[in-house]
Amino acid sequence: MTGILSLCDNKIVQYLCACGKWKSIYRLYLCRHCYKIRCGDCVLHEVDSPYCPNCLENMPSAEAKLKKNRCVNCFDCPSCGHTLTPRATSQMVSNPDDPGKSTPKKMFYLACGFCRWTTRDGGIPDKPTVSGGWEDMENPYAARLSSLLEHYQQLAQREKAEKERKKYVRRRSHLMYAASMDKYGMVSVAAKRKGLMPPTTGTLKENEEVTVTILKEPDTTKMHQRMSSVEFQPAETGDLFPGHKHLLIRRSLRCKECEHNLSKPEFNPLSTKFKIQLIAILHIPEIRVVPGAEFRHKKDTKVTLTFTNPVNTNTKIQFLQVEGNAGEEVTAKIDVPKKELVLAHRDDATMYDEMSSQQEFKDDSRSTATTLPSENQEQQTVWLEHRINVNLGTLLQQGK
Amino acid sequence: MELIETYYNNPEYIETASGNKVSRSSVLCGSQNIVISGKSIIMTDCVIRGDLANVRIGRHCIISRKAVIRPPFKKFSKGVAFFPLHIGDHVFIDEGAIVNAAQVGSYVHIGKNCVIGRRCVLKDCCAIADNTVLPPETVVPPFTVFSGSPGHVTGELPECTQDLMLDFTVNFYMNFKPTGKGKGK
Amino acid sequence: MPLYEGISYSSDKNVVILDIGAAYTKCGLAGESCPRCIIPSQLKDDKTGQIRPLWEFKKEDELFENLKDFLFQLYFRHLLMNAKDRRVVVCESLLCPAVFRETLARVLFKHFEVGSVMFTPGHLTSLLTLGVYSGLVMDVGYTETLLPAPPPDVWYPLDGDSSLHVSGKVREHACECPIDTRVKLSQNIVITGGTSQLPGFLHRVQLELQKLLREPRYSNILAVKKFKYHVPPCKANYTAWLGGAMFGSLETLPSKSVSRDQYIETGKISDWCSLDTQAS
Repeated sequence: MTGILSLCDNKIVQYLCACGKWKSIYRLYLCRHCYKIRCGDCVLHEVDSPYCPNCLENMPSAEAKLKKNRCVNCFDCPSCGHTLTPRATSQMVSNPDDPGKSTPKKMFYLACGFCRWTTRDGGIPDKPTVSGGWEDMENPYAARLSSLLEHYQQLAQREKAEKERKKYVRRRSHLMYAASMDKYGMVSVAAKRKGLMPPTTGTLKENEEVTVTILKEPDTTKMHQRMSSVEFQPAETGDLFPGHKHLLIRRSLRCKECEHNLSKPEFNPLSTKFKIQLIAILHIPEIRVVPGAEFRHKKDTKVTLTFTNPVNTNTKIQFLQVEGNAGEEVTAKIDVPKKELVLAHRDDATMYDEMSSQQEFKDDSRSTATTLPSENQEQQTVWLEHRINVNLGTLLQQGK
Repeated sequence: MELIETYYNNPEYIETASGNKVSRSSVLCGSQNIVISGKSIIMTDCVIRGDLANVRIGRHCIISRKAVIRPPFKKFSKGVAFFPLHIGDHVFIDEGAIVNAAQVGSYVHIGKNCVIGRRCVLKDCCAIADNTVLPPETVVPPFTVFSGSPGHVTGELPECTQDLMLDFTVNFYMNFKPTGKGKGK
Repeated sequence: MPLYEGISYSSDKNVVILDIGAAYTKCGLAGESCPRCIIPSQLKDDKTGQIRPLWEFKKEDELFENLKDFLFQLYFRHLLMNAKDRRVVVCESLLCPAVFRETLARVLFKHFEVGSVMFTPGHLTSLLTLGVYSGLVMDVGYTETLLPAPPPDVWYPLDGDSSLHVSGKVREHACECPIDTRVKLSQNIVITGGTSQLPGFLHRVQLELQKLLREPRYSNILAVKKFKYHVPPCKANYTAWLGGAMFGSLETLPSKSVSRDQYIETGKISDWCSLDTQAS
């Protein structure tokens, strides 16, 4: 009874995906256009809509890109990663009209409800509004980086232009030369010739200043704390700075073969409905094993399977013996029923449980019994063949 | 998936007219403030603190052994106020979990020994892994799995979560049968 | 952190820069001043909950699965963008195992269907962040310290003799350079890699170098009197990434990348040590 998390990826009944992977039915999709089973590994994932996991507000993709996938309003605790919440306090502010008097003023700071870190610990002054207007830190190298980039951009343009020219003028003689430049991607050759020198000022240091500060254990930050603010990587706890909350996305899935959508969530991040939802469990009968079958060496065992029909029409099922499948871990001989089964349509919730299979184990090792009945399913006029892997459990140890 | 093994219980459970099965050894404080919509199971040693504020539990919920459902409070300058706690339909709360949330949506799974902090909001179709600690005021969006301490997003649930939880809770209820004659003591 | 950044000149802002290190992976977009994320190069096994390092694999298939899951995480949890038809720049070590490189290319092209991939040595991109054309790049990583010769450019062909002791765990590295390059290199030392962020590490390196200079073993054959160090415009652990990010934002990127069509046609990616790289 471990619930939903173990159900999603159970290993007892697995279906063969068109890409050759064995997956639980809950993780599979059925492409309505190719009539093939698809799984998360063989579909195309697309970013659908970014949203903030805290305020649950959608952000248009373009805006999210601009804001580096971070929420404007929500902040993460730099110490433990939990969301910070604003707290109100009152501060005494000196009255501008009457310098002798001071009046109380409502001020806000951010605090973490888990590790108790506050913006005051980071030496950040309180703000007069709830939403704060919390400033972001500036990258100290921004100017240097942009001038460097500008320089490279010029070189790149020049190189491109030169290449174009070479194409027309001297097709042969400089080919190797140009290629050798390409190899290392360095634009220095061109730079030298044109006398363009990059802005290197201020990057050289003759001697590293010796700053010996002995950090006490509680003052140093942990690795995950540093990495949560990549740009600054504070080494001391006093330098921790709140970061904007990272967005999450809903994904839509597309069949790689026919490019039809298999799953498309609704725009609202709160919605649990889907615009398109071609998941396998809504189209393919689900097989479950009724527990209780005991397997003994060289004894016939009856195993009961249940089939659930998810569609609104009757479904016929035929069992096919898997042919010549060496390499699979089949440890039992299976007799599948010869008779065709009809699964009543969905409203009728009764389950058929008439399938039995005999188990014979090759040895008494702890290997698992695997049956591989293939199953055909009728859906309107469509017959689908699925290959199913059923793990029926382990052989009882002798003497038990 | 294996079908859920049939659960038996002694006649220590009371079945209400709406189909709720409530253990006699659960503690329901302020029961006039507790609404359980129907076909839900409250197991042995559960505590539901209806005396603090209203607690509403939807249909087909399962509150496992030793779970504590406790409405959240919020501190104000004048004192403390308790807020009602709403739990949706088809929610499974595993053993020993402590739920202080403001809202738990439908089709939610809360793992063993979880602590759901004050005024958390768990939206529909989400799951909290075993032994997770959700700090106060955490928001759990649909189709996410939270785990760790402090809890954060560590996984995603499949699109069929709703069907899965529905099937799971309904089956659980169907298989939760009394032994013996089913009569009270 | 500034939310708006205007240092990118490229119209194509969706170039992904990837630097998969032994311990941490740096990932972000071209033209930006720091990676979007630096995350441990490891995967959590869904079934067992165990954490396994990305580089730990027995078979190529296993590596393929590892990389596929890892990149999926990078794209959809950290970068939040589609992989298909977008360009990728990979900053890698010169000594990156061929199997890793090839599998990575396979995952990127076949599974994620990216538009093009450029593999570039991390030491070279580190220099790009400084605007210098030659330098001695010492990459102090998690498992190894690499000290390759500088990129062969017009002024400095390779091979010679000059040596360097690295501090701490008694690492000794000999960098062989021609006599002409020694002075130049000693004036252009760049130290990168996360390990070099250890407090006092740079200081120690410097002291040891100076001490070694005074020893007769070196003072006789080296004309170098002092060393100069570059200070990259970033934290040492993502210097190589930053260079890649600058490179990725340039217009010349397409001409230096392997496109998906090319990859599908030839089925391989060229390496710096293979002879057929000159094809372009």
